[in-house]
Amino acid sequence: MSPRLPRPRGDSPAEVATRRAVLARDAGLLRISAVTRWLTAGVVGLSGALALLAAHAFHGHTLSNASTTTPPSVTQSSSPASTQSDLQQPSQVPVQTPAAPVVVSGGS
Amino acid sequence: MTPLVTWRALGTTVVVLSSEPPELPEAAATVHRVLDEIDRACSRFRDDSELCRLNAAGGSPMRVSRLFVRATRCALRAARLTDGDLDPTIGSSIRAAGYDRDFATIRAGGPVRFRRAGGWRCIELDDAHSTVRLPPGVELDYGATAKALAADIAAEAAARDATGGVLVSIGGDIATAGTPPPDGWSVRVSEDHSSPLDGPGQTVALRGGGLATSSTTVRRWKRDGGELHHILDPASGRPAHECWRTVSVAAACCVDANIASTAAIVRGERAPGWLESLGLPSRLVAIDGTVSFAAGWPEGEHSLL
Repeated sequence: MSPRLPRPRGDSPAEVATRRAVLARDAGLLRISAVTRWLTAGVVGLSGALALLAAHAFHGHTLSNASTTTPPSVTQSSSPASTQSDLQQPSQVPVQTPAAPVVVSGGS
Repeated sequence: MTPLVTWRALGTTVVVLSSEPPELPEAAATVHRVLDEIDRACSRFRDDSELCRLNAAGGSPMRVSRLFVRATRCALRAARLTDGDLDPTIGSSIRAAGYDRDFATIRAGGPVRFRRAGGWRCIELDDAHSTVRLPPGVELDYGATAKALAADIAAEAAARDATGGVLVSIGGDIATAGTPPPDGWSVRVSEDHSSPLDGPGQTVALRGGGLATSSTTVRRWKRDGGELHHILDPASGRPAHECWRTVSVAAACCVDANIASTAAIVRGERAPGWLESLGLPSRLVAIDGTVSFAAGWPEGEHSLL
């Protein structure tokens, strides 16, 4: 809605028209500014909502280590097996021995 | 004779050795505690285990212990490093094949409808929140990694406060930690972990790390007149083609040795080249008893026959 401008006495019609045009421009700029603010707020809100939706919809496969708050346990230390990216060679290759065996490795 | 402590757990035989005999009882007690925890987390044969409850969760995410998270990470790593030749979603496949209860109680049965594995990539592990979710119908089985992981954790825990070295064997899958005896741990490498110490095989000295043996000769059962074994090919859900009947591998830890030895059975003819490329010393027994070696395993007898 354009503001109504009282016509000051003594002003020429051209001056009145110019003043009205200036006021109309300012009002338009104000409207554009308000619309831009609303649009910005809307886009930010929508992005957040979509991000939350995506996070819930796609859990992913999180394989990174995370800190733990559970009580210490004998099973909580980490061996190379959990983290290495390749199968790891032994530090020393087994050697044949004439010594009497103490244990058997076999299928179970 | 080296003093040892032995008992039954996780459906197989556990052996604990210490290079310092006075430390053996404490080491065995620590191993006991670890195996109890692993059993409560990963057993396929007790309804109250985390694994069984997750298998029955019907697609809902389940909060799990840090130990179960670790076992899951370990199983996923095994799947990734073997391109799915070991797949923890093989639970329904192995149940369909008839291995649906403690092995000692399996009876002969009728025809089998084999089921391929669900596919390890469908496992949703949220490490930060300690939750795991499986799609409905997918069942886990950590048989390929959990015992080896238990051996590694137990040996490390037992050696932590000891002055000497500790060896833990769970069904013949061996982990060592701490300072070994001067000449290493003398291990008889055989086809069956319950063989006598002087039975067929080869004796090697192990100075650290892990040694695992996988074999199709031990856990076998009858279905529809035929014989099945427990190492399944996840791609088909059927027992793996028997190119090698037994494979033994040495690695930096028992888990890695066990991943390699079990995947080698599944990979068949491709196994020696794969093990060689990884530099994992290995001993492979073919179905006819011929023995091959890879990556520097000491060459002994070339035939078991």
